[in-house]
Amino acid sequence: MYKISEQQIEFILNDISARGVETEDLQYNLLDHVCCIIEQNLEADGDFENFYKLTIARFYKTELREIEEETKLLLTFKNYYVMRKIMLNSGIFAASILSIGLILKFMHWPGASVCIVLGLGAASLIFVPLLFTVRIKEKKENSDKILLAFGSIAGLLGIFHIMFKIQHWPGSMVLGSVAITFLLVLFLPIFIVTGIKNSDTKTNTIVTSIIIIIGCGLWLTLVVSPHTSQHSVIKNTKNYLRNEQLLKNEKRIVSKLVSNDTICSSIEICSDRIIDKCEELKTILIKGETGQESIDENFESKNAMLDDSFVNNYFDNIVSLNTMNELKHLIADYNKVNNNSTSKIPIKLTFLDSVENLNNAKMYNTLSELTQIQMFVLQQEQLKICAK
Amino acid sequence: MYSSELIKGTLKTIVLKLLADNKRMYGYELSAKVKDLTSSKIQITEGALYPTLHALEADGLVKTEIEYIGKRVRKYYSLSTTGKKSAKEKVSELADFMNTMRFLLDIQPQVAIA
Repeated sequence: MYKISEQQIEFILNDISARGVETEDLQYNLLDHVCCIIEQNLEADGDFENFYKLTIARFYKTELREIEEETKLLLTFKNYYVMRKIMLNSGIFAASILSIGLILKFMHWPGASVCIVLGLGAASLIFVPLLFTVRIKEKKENSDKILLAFGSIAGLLGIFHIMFKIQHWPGSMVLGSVAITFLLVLFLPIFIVTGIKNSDTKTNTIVTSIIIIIGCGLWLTLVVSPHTSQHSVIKNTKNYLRNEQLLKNEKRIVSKLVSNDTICSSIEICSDRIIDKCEELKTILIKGETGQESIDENFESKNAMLDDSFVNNYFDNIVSLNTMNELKHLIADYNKVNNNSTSKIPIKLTFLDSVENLNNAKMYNTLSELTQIQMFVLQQEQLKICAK
Repeated sequence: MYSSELIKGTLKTIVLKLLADNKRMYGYELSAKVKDLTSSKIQITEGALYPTLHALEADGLVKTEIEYIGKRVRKYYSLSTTGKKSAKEKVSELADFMNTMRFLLDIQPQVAIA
């Protein structure tokens, strides 16, 4: 039985490393294996070097490092299949929950926002990164890897743009523009240049490029450059601010009249409560729509604008529903006392009239309806003082 | 000696079964044991054994212990709890497969191994 010296162990270890086996764990496994074979099979006075060469040659077909490559392949494939499975499941989940969210939004049912954010979140945070990780392993050419990276980034930015837009978070326009730039300026040229060179992929490249350009064109028309939509949003917000100014003036007139009035030193409690409740409701809606407590003249720079969205999204919690119901009760009480047809607060066809009207009510109209109620009550107060 | 294709498909089962019967073993010991038990009919190559052992370790089916013999490092493999379960499943799956193959290829069962 041969006894291997420490120098020989070092020699074997260095040789294994020089033959391209880099993983320390595998190096030590192979070292021990070779040593065992030599110790078991070589005579005590045998030729170590020659026997080692013959032994190590039995470990591989062409090169020793193929053992390491095989190990890596087995480990990678294990992760690869798990990742593929998660990728497919997250993709199915994202698509399903997003579809449900879109149906809910289309029907103006509650829960739409949660489903859409969840769907887009799963798509952007799980599906796209895994798709990138799985696909990058399959790509051999560097240009293909760059294309995949740019495509994934553009996809992620696109998803974030839509999510920010739907949720009225600031920065959606920037995200959309960067996504389009990425796709058209970085992705598309590389895609065309690499794809058109190969006769097998030439036709597919041209067709896909056309589809991408048409898609981006539609997107630009609908999302990035909706000048008209932006214009109407600004117009709505300015109208709202004008209405608020009118209301302020009306309040000042009434308070002046009331202070000059010798019989009554304040407006009726019921009227006052209706005005406050309307204000409360307006604050809830504005906060839901813009994320801010109020809107002022700098609304454009603060991105606090009134979109033409449906208000029922903001009536999906107890606080806002209670406030609306309290207002309804106050108006009903008011109308009971003031039962003359001209002094009754008209709520027919407003969002307070029926559930159907609430489901179809849009932001600007609803705010206007609330301001109209406040103005109506204030004017009734003026009429009462004038009649004295 | 059997072809490497045949051995490759059953290597995980062989390793798991040997570890189930022998508590803990190191790489050389495993290949020597297989060679010995099969009268050299099955010889596991190093190129197949170590990738399989590393994959089993990554799957959590085997645990490892390290022992130092001078400058050498010996890695002992033993079954984890899931590995013990997997060993039983793999052996019974292979037994079932062998029965099916026997039927499929119309092989007469041997009474005793010569």
